[in-house]
Amino acid sequence: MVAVLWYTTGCTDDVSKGAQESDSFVPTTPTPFTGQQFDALGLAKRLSLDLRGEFLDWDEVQRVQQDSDAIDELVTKWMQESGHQAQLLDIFSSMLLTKVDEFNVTEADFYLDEALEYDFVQAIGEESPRLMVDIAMSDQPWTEVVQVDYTMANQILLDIWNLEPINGSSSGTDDWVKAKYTDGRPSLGVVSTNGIWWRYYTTPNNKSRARAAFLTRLLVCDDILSRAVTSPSSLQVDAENIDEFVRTDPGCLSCHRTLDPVAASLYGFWQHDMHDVVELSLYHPEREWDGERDLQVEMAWYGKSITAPAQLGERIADDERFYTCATTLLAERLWRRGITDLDTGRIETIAYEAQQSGGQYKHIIKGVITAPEYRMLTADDPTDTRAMSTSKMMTAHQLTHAIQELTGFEWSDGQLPLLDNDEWGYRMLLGGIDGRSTTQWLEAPSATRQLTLKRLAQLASEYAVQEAIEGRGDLFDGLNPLEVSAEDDVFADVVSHWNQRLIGRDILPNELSVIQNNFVSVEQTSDRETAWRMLLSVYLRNTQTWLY
Amino acid sequence: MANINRRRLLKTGLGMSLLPSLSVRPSLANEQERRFLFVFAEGGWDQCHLFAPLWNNPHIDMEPQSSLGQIGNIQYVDSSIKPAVGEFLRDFGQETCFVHGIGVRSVAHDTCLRLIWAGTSNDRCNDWASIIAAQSQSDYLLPHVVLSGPSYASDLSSFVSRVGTNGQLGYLLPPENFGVQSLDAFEDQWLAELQTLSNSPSARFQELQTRALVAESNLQAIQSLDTTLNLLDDEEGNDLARDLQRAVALLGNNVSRCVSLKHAGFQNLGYDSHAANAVQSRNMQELFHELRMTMQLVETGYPELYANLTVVVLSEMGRFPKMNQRQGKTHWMHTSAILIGSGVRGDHMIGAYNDDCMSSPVDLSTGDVYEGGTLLKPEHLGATLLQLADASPLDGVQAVEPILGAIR
Repeated sequence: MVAVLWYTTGCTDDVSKGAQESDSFVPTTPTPFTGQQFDALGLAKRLSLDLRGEFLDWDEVQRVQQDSDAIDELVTKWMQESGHQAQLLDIFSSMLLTKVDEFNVTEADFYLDEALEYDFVQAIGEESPRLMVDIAMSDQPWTEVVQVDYTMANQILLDIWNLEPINGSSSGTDDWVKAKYTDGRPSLGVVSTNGIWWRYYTTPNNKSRARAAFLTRLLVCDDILSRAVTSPSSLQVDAENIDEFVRTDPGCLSCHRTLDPVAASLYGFWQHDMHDVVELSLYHPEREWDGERDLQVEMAWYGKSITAPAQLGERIADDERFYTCATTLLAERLWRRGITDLDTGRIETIAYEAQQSGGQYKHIIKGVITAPEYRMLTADDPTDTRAMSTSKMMTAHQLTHAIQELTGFEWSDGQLPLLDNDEWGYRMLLGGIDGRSTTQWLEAPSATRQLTLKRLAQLASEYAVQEAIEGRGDLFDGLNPLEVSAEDDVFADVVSHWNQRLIGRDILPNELSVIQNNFVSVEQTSDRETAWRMLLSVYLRNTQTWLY
Repeated sequence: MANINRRRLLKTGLGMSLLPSLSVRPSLANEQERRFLFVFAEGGWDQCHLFAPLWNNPHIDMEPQSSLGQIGNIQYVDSSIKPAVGEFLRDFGQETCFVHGIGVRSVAHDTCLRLIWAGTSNDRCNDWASIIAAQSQSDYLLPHVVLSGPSYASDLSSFVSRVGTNGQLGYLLPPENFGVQSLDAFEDQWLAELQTLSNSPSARFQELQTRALVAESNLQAIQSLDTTLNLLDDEEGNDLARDLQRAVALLGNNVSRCVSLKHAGFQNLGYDSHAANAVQSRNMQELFHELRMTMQLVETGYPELYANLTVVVLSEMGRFPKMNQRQGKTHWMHTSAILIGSGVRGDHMIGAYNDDCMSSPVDLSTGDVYEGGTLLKPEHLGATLLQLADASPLDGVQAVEPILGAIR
């Protein structure tokens, strides 16, 4: 049996495809990919940025330089850190696209203070990806992502949705805890979260089909919406008989035969009014069977019947494409390119081995980051599409998080983080996504992105140098930058450390020379503090820092 | 939310200067090269309110109280609620071509958006504007500026700049907002000097670095422009009017080759009228009024641009011909586009809708409906735009013939 990677846009009539049991599955042999691998420090930098969104610290640089095998231990350690949570949150958010700037209701609809406008939108947008993060970080089998009976909530969500905290309540907007809905919704993990259904709402004419299409794309990588739609064979249809038409017209059936049975299972989430907070917030058990009546079709997942909505998660988890899809989506993000036919064997192998190892998400991560597709600095065949992964840009989140961890600087207007929204801030300008008009991380540097990075680097450097002058932070190895000139030996030490931490290699003599000369120039025309600020800014803006 | 945000921005000092002064004209752009303004009607416009004159058909609900309008050779659905359509066509019909019956083969917004903008449903794609911007013969400081609306630029994202929902780019540009101007320039020089010493063996690294260097070089040129335009004054007109003015400034001063923006509809109600379909008329009134104002502004204020500007107005889908129970209309996979200006065969219509409100096949060389002809797809529109731009299609997008009948 050959597993199928559903990234093509074709059309299929086989509604049961992929829903078979996977006991006899044998992965395709990966297509060889050869080239020069990253050296230890370069690889450590790449892993550190991908796994926790941070640059290496000095101790880690030294460990890797002394023993390249230390990388494996570091990877294990990094995957337990809060930075890993934040990085996974960004990755899952890019899959779900729930972190938008607006929903159909606002904080005012819940009588919350206007000052909570941003926190409200953030909380809704992060509920679903945070649940995925929790499943991944707590070493549960990844199939639990569609089967657990809880969600994640902060204080806002606990309050507005009347959720029941499981192990103690939340103390604020940044304190996310496990919680349960109390409205009788089935245990479907992320499928049961309001966060996705507020983003992917439905209408009386759509009948939950857009929601069903979102699920098939997210969970088994079947993008039904991309299938070619042929014009109906007749226009002899009106509002009264359009549903019958959709069920019988060959032009409609190719999608609706798959879509409608899934949509029928989602009617407990149906909202009569997409702007009504009660309708949107509560699950409606009494509507669970309305879907079958409304769509005139029985609930099913790719031809496998569903006895009740609560069985949907089990059906999805049993789908043979579930793990290959999870692997594909992660590989797209960590290899930073589209997955092609060349990757089929590798993706299938990683997915298969992850399942054999217990099915936890960490096994998928480890498979993706140990693959040659991840570790090559150059490809023997430069025309191979997989060579795209040999160098990639730091995402908006990585830049934000890494620079904050390095310098302590958080760009805000005094109240809001300006790099995590677009209404007030610079998320998209830095290369991030807003979940609607931009849905992919920036692949190549644009003028807007470079300018935003420049300003971020300047502000962060100013902050970091000031902190160091006042004796805080570790960027200057405990030294006061005002007491270090370009002629001092320790100047070269500090810069050398920055080079290894940020760029991932030893500094070259001509690089040090350029740095010293420019430093002296700035010091002469301005002052030493400005020179340090500018040097750090140059490092943060350097392509060798943010390309990795 | 938008008003609160705007107030907040202004209060905190953001957006006081949206863009650099464009009074100093960048010298690298060829003024004869065709420029493109993309205007996106967000949500799916109703062809029965403008493009498809199909009255007396029991299966089609036309715009209420509408009648056939005709200016020159262009026929349209006229009504008293949207006189701006006729006014626009009277002034600029000679420069305008309606392209009817483009089949988008999907009824999902996200998919149709990519199809109409880029000719593919693939997530990783490049839209027409980005392809055109990337293949410019001239060096533009900001080759493609997205003022609002969707943008699909995968490997061509280097050529695309965003201004920000509330013009945040205007705050980031002036060095004075972040320090001393002379030091800002020195930092750029220092960075450039250091980056020339880079020695990664990765071809991909070198490609990305080259693009970064070009982007930063352009930024320096933009920042060197001294004064600023105060375009964030939200008291003037609607969002569409403001964005169109900004677009003209960018295009007219050779900063950009392509600018794209969206029309969110009358009072931001959008075109996705699953209920109260009547809003379509209001939307089109506003759209055509602002298009007319813009064309007049360009004609009088930027004569060189007027000679070389092509305006592309499109929407991702049409609307199902029959009204639903909520007096709205659901999605439809046949739509139209409007081409205006340079290179366009004006006073002309391409294709038509048949009695079922579906695309009729056309003779691509003339645009006439022809039984053995071609059913238009977004790729045909794209090929036409690329031909107008002297640009080549990218791999992965199905190669099709342009609609030569739409080209002068």
